[in-house]
Amino acid sequence: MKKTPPKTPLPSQSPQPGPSDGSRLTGDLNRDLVVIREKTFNTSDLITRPITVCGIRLCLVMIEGMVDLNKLDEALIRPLLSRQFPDADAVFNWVEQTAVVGDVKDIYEYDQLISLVMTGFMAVLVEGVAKSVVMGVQGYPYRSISEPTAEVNEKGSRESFTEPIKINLTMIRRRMRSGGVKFEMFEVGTVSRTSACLVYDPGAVSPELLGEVRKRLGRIRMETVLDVGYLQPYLEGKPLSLFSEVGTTERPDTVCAKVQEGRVAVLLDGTPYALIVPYLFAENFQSFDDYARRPYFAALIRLLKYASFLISMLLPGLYVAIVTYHPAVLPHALLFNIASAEEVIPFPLMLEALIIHFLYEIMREAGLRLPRPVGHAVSIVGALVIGDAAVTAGIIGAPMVMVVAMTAISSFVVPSLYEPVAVLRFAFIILGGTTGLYGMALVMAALLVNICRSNSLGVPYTAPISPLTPRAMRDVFIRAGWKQLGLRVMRLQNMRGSDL
Amino acid sequence: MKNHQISAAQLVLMLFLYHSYNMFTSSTHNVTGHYGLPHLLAIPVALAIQVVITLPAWLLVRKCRRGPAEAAVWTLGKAGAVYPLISSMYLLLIMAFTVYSMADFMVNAIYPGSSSAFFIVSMVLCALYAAYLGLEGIARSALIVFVLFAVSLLLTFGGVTGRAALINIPPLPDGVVSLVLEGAWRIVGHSSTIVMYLLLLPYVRSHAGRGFGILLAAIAVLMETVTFFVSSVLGELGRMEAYPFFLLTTIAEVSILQRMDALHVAVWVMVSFLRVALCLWVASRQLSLCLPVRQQASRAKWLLPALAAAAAGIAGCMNQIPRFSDGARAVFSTGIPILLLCAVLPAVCLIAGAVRHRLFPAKAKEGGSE
Repeated sequence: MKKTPPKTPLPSQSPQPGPSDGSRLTGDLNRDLVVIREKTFNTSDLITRPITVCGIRLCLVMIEGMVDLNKLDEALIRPLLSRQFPDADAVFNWVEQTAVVGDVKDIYEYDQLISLVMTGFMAVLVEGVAKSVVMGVQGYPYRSISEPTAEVNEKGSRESFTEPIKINLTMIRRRMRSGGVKFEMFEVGTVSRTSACLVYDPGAVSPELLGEVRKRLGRIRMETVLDVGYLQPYLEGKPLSLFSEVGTTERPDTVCAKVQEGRVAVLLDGTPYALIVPYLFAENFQSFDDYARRPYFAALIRLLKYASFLISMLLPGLYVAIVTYHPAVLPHALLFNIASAEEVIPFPLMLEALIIHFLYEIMREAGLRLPRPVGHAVSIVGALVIGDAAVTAGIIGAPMVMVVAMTAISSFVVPSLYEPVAVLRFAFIILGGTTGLYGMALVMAALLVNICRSNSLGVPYTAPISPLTPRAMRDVFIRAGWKQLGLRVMRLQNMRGSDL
Repeated sequence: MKNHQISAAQLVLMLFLYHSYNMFTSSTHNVTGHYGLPHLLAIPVALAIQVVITLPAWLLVRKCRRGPAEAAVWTLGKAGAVYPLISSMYLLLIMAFTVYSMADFMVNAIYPGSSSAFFIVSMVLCALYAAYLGLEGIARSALIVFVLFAVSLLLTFGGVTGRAALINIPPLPDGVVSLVLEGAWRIVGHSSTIVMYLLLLPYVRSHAGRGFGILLAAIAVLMETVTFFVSSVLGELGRMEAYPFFLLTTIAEVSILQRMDALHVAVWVMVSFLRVALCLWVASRQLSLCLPVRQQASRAKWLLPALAAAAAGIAGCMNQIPRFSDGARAVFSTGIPILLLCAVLPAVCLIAGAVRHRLFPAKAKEGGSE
C-alpha cells in the first residue's frame, strides 16, 4: 500500500548565502549534480531527472520510491511545463512561491539537500541559481494503523503506533489538542540519521528530568539506530538491573496519559513503539482497560495482576521448596496426593521442575517465532501431546504439570515483566530445591533491596509503594473512580523520594 | 541526587523490624531471666529507662545539629573518634551475634543436620550486597518486609487466640520490684535499636524526635503482645522452650492452614537480613569517621567487605566456641555499651563542648552550618 505520509519538518533556519567553500551549491547544474552523486556514492536509487523549460535547464533530485509521483506531477510538473519564464530566477521564484506541495524551503548546502532528499523530499535545481528548492512530496509505502498486538484491550481506542514517526505524532496530537504537548525532533545515528522525537508536556514535566533525558540521549554515539530498543540502555540507570526503568508502549493514548503525569516519551522513526521515562514498577500492572472499567472491577483485576506476578515468579520454587524441605506446611490430604504422584518420578523434584520449565520456554519461543498457524500447532503438541505423554509415562508428575501450567498462564497476565520473571523463576527453583524457603527468602530480600534501590531518572522505582505516597496509592493496588483520579493529576514530582 | 536520605517514618519502620528480630531466635521474652508477669511489667519500665538514658545523646544531637558520632568528633577533636570506633565495634558484635543466632536457629529448628557455616556465609554475603546498595534500598524494602511481617504476626496471633488462657500466665513471684527492675535493665541492654536510631539521625531528612517515641512505644506493644501470647498459650512450656515464639507459630492454625511455621520463618529470614545489612552499613559509616577525612572516601569502600568478613568470622567462632556467644550475651546484658553510647560519651562530649566553647549559642550556630 502506498500512502502519503505527513511531511518531515524542514530545518527552521537555513544557512544564508555566503562565500563558497565547496560545501555550497554553485548554480552550475552539471557540477552540482556531480557533487551530489559523489556525496551519495552514486547510489542507484538516487534519481536526477533533467527538464528543460523555456530553454532553461532544471533538474529534479529525489530518491526512487520515496516520492509521490502523482502529486509531483499535479503540483509541479504540469503547471511548470504550461508556463513561460523569461529567465532562471523566474523559474526558481515560481517553484519556490507558487508550487503548493506542503513544505517548501530554500537550501544552499549539499549536505542539507542530501539529508532532506534521503527523507523523501524532492529537490529542484535550476541552472544558474546557486540554491535549491526542496519540497515535501513524500509518498512511500508504510504499514497502516492497526490494533495493538502486545497491549490488547477490551474497551477504548484500537489504534496503535505504526512505523512512520509523523503518523505517530499525529495520533498523539489528535488526542492532545491544547498545544500543551510539545514535540522535540532530533536525529540519532551518524549514518542512519533516524528521526526521533521527545514528547512531553512543558507544564507538567520537571526541567531536571527533561535535561537528564536530553543529556543521556546526547551520549548516543551509534552509526545506525534502527529500533527504539537501541536507545533504551542509554536511558536506563543500571544496565544490569533485571527490571527495566524504561517503559514501552504501542498505544498513543498511553503516551498521552503518561505525558500528562510529567513523563517524557521518546518516539523513533521506523518503530511502532514509544519509550516512556521514568517508568515505575507499579506501572507494569496498569493497563488502559483499567481506566475504562468500573473501579471495583479494575481494582480486582489489579490485585489479580499482582498475585499473578508473584505466582509466575515464585510458585514453582515454592512448590519445590515446600515439598522437598517443609512438607508439614501442606494439608495432609494434599501432601499424600503429591507424594503418590511423585513417588514414581525418576528425577528429583528440582530437576523435574527445571526440565519442564526449560521445555516450556523452548515451546513458547518456538510458538512465538513460527507463523501463527504453525505456532498454534506447536502449542498443542507441547501442551497436550508431550505433557500428557510425559505424565502417563511417569517422567513428570501431574502436580508439577499443573504448577507449570498455572505459572505459564500467570506469566502472561503481566507481559511487560515476562523477561525478569522467567529468569527469576529458574533462580527460585534452584534456590528452593537446594536451600528451601531460607534461600528463597534471603534472595527475595536481596532482590527487594535491589529493586527498591533503583531510581528511574530521579524517581524511586518502587514509588509510590515505597517510599509510600498515600495519595498516589489510589492508582496502584486499586483504581479509584474518575471523580477522584480526575481531581488532580498525580505528577512524578509529587512522589515521595523523588529528586525531581 | 541526594544520598542516604530517608524519612523518619522509614527509619521507624526499619528499626521496628530491626528490633523484632530479637523475639525470633532467642528466648528474648525471657531475656529478663524471668517469665510471665514480671516480664510484662518490665517492658514499660524499660521503655522509660531508654527515654531517660538517651537524653544526653539527644541533647548533644540538638546542640551540635549532627549525629552523635559526628558531634563527638566535632566536640572532642581526634579523641572524639573513640565514639564511632566503639559504636562500630558494638555494631559488629551485634551483627555477628545476629548471624550466629540465626544460623543456630536454622540448624536447630528448621534444617536439622545442616551446616551453620552455610547460613552464616549466605546471610553475610547477601547483607554485604544490600549494604553495598545503600541505606535507601534497605529503608525502602523495609516497608514491604514490614507488611509481610505484620501479616505473619496477625496470622500467628489469630491462630493462637483461641488457645490463650490467663490461667496459664505464671503468677507474680516474691520480690517483684527488684525482678522487674533487673529485667527492665536487661531489656535495655539488648536494645541496640536506640543506638542505631541515634547513629542514623544524620541520614534522616525529616525531624526524627517524635519517631523515637513512636518506635519505642511500638516495640513495647509488640513485646507485650508476644510475651502475653507466649505466656498465656504455652504456660510453663514457654519457660523451657529454646524458641518459644517459634513454637507459638507451629501451633497457630488458621482455617485449613495447619502448620505455617516455615512461611513465618521465611519472613523472619528477611527481617534478619535487613538487620544484618543495616548493621553492616552503619558500622562501615561509623568506622569511616575514624579515618582521616581525606582517606574516608577512598578507604570506605574496603570497610564493607572487611566488616562483613569480620562478622562472619566472629559468628563462626561463636558457633564453634560457646564461650564466645555466652560472652557476647553477657556483654549485652550488662547494658554497658548502650549506657556508654547513649549517655556517658554524649555527656562527656557535652561537657567537652562546653569547656571548649563549642556549644555556646554563637559557636553552635557557626558549627551547625559547617
